[in-house]
Amino acid sequence: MCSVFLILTGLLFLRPTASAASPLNSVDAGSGNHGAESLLIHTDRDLYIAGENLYFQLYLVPSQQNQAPSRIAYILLQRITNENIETFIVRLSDHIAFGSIYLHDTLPTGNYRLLCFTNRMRRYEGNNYITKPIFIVNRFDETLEKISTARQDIDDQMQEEFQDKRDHGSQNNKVKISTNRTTFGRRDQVDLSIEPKDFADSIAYLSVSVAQDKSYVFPDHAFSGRQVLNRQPGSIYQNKSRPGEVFAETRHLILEGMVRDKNTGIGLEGLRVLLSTPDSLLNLQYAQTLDDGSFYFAINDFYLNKPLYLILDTSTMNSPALIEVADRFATKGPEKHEQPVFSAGHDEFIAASQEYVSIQKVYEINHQSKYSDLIKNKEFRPLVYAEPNYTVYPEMYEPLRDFREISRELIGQLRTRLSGGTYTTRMLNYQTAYQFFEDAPAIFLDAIPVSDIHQIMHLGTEKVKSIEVHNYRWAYGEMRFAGIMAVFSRNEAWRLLELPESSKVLEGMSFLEPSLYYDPDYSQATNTQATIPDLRQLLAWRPGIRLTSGENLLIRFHTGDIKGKYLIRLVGVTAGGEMFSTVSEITVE
Amino acid sequence: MIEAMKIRFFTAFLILLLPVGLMAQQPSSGSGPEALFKAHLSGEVYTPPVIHSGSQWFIGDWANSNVTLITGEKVSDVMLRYNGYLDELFWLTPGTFEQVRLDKNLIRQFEMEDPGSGEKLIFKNLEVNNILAPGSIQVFAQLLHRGDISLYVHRKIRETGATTSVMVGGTLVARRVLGPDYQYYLQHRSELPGAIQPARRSLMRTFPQHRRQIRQALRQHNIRIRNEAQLIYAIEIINDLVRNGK
Repeated sequence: MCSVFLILTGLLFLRPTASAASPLNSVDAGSGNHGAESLLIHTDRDLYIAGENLYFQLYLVPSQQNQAPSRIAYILLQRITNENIETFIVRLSDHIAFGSIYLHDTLPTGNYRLLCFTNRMRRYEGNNYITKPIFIVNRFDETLEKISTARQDIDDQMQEEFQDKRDHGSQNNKVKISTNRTTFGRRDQVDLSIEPKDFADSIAYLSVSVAQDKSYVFPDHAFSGRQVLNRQPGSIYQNKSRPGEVFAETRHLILEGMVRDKNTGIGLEGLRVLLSTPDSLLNLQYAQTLDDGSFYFAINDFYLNKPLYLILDTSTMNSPALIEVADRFATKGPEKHEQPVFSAGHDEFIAASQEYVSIQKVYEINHQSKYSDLIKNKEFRPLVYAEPNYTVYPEMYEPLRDFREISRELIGQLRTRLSGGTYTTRMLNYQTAYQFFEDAPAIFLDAIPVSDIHQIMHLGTEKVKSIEVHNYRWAYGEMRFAGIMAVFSRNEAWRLLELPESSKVLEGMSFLEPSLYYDPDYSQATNTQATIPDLRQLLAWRPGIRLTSGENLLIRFHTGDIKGKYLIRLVGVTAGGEMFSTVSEITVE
Repeated sequence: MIEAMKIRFFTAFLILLLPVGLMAQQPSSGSGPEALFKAHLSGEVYTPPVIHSGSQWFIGDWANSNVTLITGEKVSDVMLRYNGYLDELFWLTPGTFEQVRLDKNLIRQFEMEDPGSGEKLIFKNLEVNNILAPGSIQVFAQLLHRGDISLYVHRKIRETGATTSVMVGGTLVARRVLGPDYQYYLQHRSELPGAIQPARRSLMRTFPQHRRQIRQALRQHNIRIRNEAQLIYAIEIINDLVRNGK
């Protein structure tokens, strides 16, 4: 008897529990250590003059756990103090993103770095984010004190080791690179051939940079990201795992936040957060807060570059609450910064670079070119209705002073009463045509929810473009409206809306657009090109190269007017996540 | 005795551990984010009045369905039924059990599972040639066959013209009788679908240049177009002819 009882008790437990089925717990379950998603970043150089563009390629090494790869990555430009200078969101297409970052003239000389991560990687905290150190010299810094200081910390042995590494790469025979000659004249054509040698995966993704040898000042330049790819199970990854808090952005950006009780700070469950953006059509999304008060929105391309209004639905609130939005860029990343290795000739090199950049500014030479094949996801408005029941255009009538007059004279379906200094509104039910709804209608100004009609009462005919009246009892998911009135203004009146304290307005989000490096083609030189000095220290930058096993590639570029030693650096990763780099050298005389 | 108790407790312990083990093996589900980022259905809270004799509904019961919105977003596992008299789609809201007449212009298509047969029925919000007046109209039409030539049916329900008397609250009331009046449409690739009758002659008129081949094929397969199933079969054969370039 006792056994039967115990068996039945055990069977009861066989039923999946609620927590196992919870959407948050199910996300990325099991990931968190070996084989998790990671990134690899490669830049055109290590050393920049403020005012130049930095070119990068980001490669996503997909997770080995059959998870859909992230399509969005974040790049932070940070100072040595780990303070963010600029933040960027990039789209990954076929695991790759490339583009350029303008380094502002005002950046002081010093150590900087790029910190990269995907939202999925945020589960493991900042210490596992990918970093790429760079050194930026201000164009007007003549003392170059920081370079002298940095050089004092480098002994001869370190210098040699660095140079050896810098000049030979990993030389792991994945690909072979060769040029038609090793010495070239000014504005000479260089043919660089890339030959796949030995990689098990049939595809590899590469980027190639050709720059003056002194442009590389950090050891391990090629392998930003290697430490994560080679990580072992049982490392910090396991301990830092934060399951249930972070979603992978495999399609859209995800906006996440919390709703907390204003007084106690405790996360509030079951509140409805509304999201809308000023627009000429009524758009609305909502999310319900989960048990810990968190909420999530998928941000499709429609929302890009537009202010986002997050407003709490007061009908779901029992106590004062506040919305907090998670700041994806509020991360410090690893504490440690890598130190650059400067040699004796670097002072002259930097002084010359500063001059070259200044000259190029005078001639307004910019080598950045827009990438034409822009990735664009589908954008769609989350519409509350396809078409309103009525639309009123006040300009077609006699001018009216304020909205009360407009409502009385032009909107027969709306009843507005002023009693004790407070306006009340009700909408006529279309289905009965003689009964008003018992509740107040939902009011929107330029698609932003307005909780109090007082806020639009000042709007007269000259400020109102159209008024949409949708006098149905309307369902939108779980929301119910006793009619909807959407007012669209002529003069962006939404800017003057006073929002409840609990609301939040976010600036428009945008993606860094991909761009390429343009290098002149002197085989078809025009007179203009001949007379303008070509002071490129970066001869070529080719990101996003897809190399197929057994297929040779030819890259053609031209030298400029600066003589010296140039390094050709190829950095790649096979489709299976194995990284490699190769270095070659050419001289311009 | 003690040994027996030990075995019994050990067995119980194993049984209690079993579900934990099973849960640990559950694959990572991708349904989580989708559940949070789902799109919302939108429409008027409205219950159509009963003023006729006969059903307005294509299928009387609510059917588990999926909806694709014009934005491309999908809303899954919702209870829907199609009103052929109004040509409107109704949603039964979970929890509150209200009837919502969905905003037709926001729906691209829906897929419902016939509660009786379990068959999946696909309806598209289709622009078709208006058979009563010049121009086109937007209807929810069921896809019967997809091919170079696709066959749709508008599951229209209309007043038959007859009236019947029914007792309503002790009073005898005359009510107009409703009945099905299905309208079939053929669509050649992406052209505007045109109306067709489930009859051989109508089919010949639709493809005048292939009259002979169609007649031959229908004879060969011994098809007499008298009902929907035969019409579907005929369209399958015509699609084969098109594919084979005859």
